[in-house]
Amino acid sequence: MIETIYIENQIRQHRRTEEILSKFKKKINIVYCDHYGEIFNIKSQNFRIQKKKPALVLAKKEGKKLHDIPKSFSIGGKKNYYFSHMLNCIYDCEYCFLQGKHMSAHYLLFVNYEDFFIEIEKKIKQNRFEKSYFFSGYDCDSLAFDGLTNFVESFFPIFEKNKNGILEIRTKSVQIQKILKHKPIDNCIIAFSFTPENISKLIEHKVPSVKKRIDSMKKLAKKGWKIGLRFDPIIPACNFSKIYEDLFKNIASNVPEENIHSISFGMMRFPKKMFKKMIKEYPNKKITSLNFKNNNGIYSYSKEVQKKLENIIVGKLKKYMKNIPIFNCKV
Amino acid sequence: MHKTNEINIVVAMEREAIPLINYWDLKKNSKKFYSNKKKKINLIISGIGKKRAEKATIYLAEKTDNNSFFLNIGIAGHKNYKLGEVILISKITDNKNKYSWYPSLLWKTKIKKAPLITVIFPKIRYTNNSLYDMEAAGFFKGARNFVGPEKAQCIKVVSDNKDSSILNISSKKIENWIYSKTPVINKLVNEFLKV
Repeated sequence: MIETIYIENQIRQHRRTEEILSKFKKKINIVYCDHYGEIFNIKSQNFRIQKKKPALVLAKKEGKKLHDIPKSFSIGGKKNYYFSHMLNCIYDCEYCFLQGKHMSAHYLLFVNYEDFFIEIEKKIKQNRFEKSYFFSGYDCDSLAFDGLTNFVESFFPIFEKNKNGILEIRTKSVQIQKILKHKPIDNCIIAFSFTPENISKLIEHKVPSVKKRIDSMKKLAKKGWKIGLRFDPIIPACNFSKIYEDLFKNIASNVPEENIHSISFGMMRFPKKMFKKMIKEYPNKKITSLNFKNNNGIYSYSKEVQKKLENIIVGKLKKYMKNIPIFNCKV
Repeated sequence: MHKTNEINIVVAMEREAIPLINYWDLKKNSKKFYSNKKKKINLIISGIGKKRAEKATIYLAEKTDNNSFFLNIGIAGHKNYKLGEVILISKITDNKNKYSWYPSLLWKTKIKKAPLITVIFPKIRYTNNSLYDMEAAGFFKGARNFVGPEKAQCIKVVSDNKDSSILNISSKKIENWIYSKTPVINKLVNEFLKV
């Protein structure tokens, strides 16, 4: 529960700031600052301590709003970008790179959505002869905070009128009420991330159960929404083949194949610096028991293990979801 | 009291320190330095002003464990707050260079939170909704060399407002205000030490 909100002075009067503040019924502590970096980027912060009670930081995103993503992370497109209207997540997955990426565990929300819209539309125009893919949910869970951020209702209209832009909303949340009220948008993909239930229970703290997420996908599919399946990271565990097969089978029996846009998967991977920071801050992580190898500065499983896991995953996916394109997110 | 961390407390004046020294049963180590090893509480009387507060904080930091918690306790003025009211500080600004510190507010407490401005001379007119003191910026400048925003905090007790100026403050009043708030401060200290 948020008890403190830091607000940049320049957006004190912003319409979205006022909307967000009006959603807090209980008295909250508001602290004004000149720049979010005064709170968010302070080096000596302890991510794990802050994660126990994160504050909300409202700010204006300056500079570049869209960032290129590697081709190997695509879901079939050539022009791929990610954007982050928010940094950090309400969930606490032990493998999450955010805990090694940011100094702070506070939720940082950029309220100037309109500046994101301008860049997105500009990019769509620039790439007018091909589809542009926009990924949301790299630095946050786009849906988990939707009740507060109004992300869905704000960003959907941009893609309703720009059919050459494809939006992927990546989530582990079941906050789909606002999407269900909306008419399906053909160029929007609601992509759900999964690990098998027993792994999720162990290391994806505060994340809704696999069952609840599958129910959400089922409801969305029934309404005609396109669903993305994301198995990233793949985590080797006891009965690896069986637990992943059970998960795929469960999804396939609940979500019709024609509603599934794409499947992607990826091995756990961290740049060296991020990996070291994570281990330092969270030494009792269960994932540290996995056998990580340093592959040219990227900590992941050995090449042999990766190949073995890939073969099992692709084999099982094809067994239950034959005609859906599968992408391996490799670094 | 949790026994894992030490807490280093910086207060400006002896009158502010006396009720705390008595409450925690702190023993005098040197002229301005008190401690209770069992309770892991250290207290230093810095003298008035941010430079003195900074120096005293660094002295404590160098003398104690590097996992210590730092706390500044003292009096401050505010336009409207009631005399004797206890406030947990949410933002500290050095009025001279406008630099600000933001202590993380992670605590289970109903104590009011408010920003504070550290000034060089006592404030007679309260121009905005902040508290005013003369030490906190120096304390934070010193403490934050050693710990992050979670482990440096500031508690102030209101000593003057628009109806009762700084000229009405007396040593006895200071002692009484701090004395009456010591149980509340102690509760908060216990919260701090859970970190």
